[in-house]
Amino acid sequence: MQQVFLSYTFNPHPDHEAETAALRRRVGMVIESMDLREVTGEDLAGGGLTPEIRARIEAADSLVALLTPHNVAGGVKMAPPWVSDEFAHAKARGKPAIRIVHAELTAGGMYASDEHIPYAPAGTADTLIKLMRTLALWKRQQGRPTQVEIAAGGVELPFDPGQGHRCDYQLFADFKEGDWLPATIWREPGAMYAFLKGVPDQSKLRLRMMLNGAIWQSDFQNPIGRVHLSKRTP
Amino acid sequence: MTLRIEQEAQYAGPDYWRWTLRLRGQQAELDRVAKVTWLLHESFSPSVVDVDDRTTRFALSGGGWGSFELRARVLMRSGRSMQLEYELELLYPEATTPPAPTGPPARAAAAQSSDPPPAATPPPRKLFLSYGTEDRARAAEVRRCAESLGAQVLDPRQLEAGLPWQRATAQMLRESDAVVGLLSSDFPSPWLAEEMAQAVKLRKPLLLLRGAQVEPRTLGLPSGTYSTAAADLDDAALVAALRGLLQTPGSALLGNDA
Repeated sequence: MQQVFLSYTFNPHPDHEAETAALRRRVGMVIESMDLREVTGEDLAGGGLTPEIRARIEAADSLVALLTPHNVAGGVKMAPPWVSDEFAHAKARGKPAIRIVHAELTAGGMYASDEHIPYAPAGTADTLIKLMRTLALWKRQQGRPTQVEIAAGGVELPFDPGQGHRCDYQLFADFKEGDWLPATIWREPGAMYAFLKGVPDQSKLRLRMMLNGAIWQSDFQNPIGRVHLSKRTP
Repeated sequence: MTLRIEQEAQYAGPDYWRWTLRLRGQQAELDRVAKVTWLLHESFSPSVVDVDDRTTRFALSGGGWGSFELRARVLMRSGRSMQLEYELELLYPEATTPPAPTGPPARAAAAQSSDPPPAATPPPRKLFLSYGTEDRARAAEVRRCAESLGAQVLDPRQLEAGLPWQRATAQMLRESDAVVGLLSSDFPSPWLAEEMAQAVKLRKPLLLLRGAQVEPRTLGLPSGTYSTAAADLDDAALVAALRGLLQTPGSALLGNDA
């Protein structure tokens, strides 16, 4: 795990501007302190679950939603609806996601029963510690980002960077094979690497590439160093 | 001493080159060389190669995906040694369109062309901007001032999601001409610290905009590898500092407060 999408309102309720800014800042610092990168939709202006925001959430590994007062409807303080939408989108995509809910709001909606972290401006430390523990748990569950060198045992892979070849990896742990997951191909001057978003401890992995209509695949092996692909017959 | 490194390179495509490195120098001088240790990019296996074949002028052949900086440690028969530096240059053959990368290329190779170069519009200088989440607002101001100078700002937060962050950030740093770090806290983000260390390793001109109470030594950077300025410079002073930074040659080491 390396990227956390941080969902929050850029236009908080006027009574809560300072505390929302402080919470957003501190949550961002917690994320970075956990050696993770925050991703936001800030440069996209925000305000709705646009295709660009969906794509960023889907590319991120997890999501933290700050539900803080945004407006008042019927005398009740409400959180911005798009923050809840972004949270729901992450959950629907199977991403680890959690809400930090301001004391003056209630965590409603489809995922109301999901765990959340309460936030009161006077008790920020408790909120941040709970968030740190949540992130640490997610990191452990998702595994560490890993890169392995792609090799083919003396044979040159018919790799063409212009062709957008797909590369996938599969984990094996507890006598179970996981789903095939997408890997990112990354070239350096002397080697080609597959970047894997998360490999839990004790897992084995195998790698698969489609090259010119042929499948090149490795056996399950330790997720370090070089992975040797060989051409497989379908 | 006339020894230097020379290269041959052939495009083997797609986006792959075969190359040979060897020593060049006067015959008598080459005769005095006992061994050359080639120090390649760490992605090569092996990345440290000893060659003692005088007949090939200590040639090393290989292949790879892009340009890189290398070193040759030359051991003379006298026991004396010297180190040479070289940037391997790889060109696309004429009429070859560089393929779209599957990730950022290791190092962009210059396209070879017989056409005359376009009219003299220098490419924009690239400024890498490093900051923690607590400095987002100030980073936006630095970006605005840098762009007012015509600079292109490289911000790792704008990397395509899903890329391997550390490698993509390192690539971005290599492409930059200068680096600005925003240091408002004595306990900076680990990402900021790593980016500053990389900038120093790559010998990029580095300016730290620091808070009044913040000591840059918390980053552990060697002295003389960066300059500093107050984080709260006004726009005019910030523009002047950035202009000076962007005009600094890559390997110049700075040591004074701006």
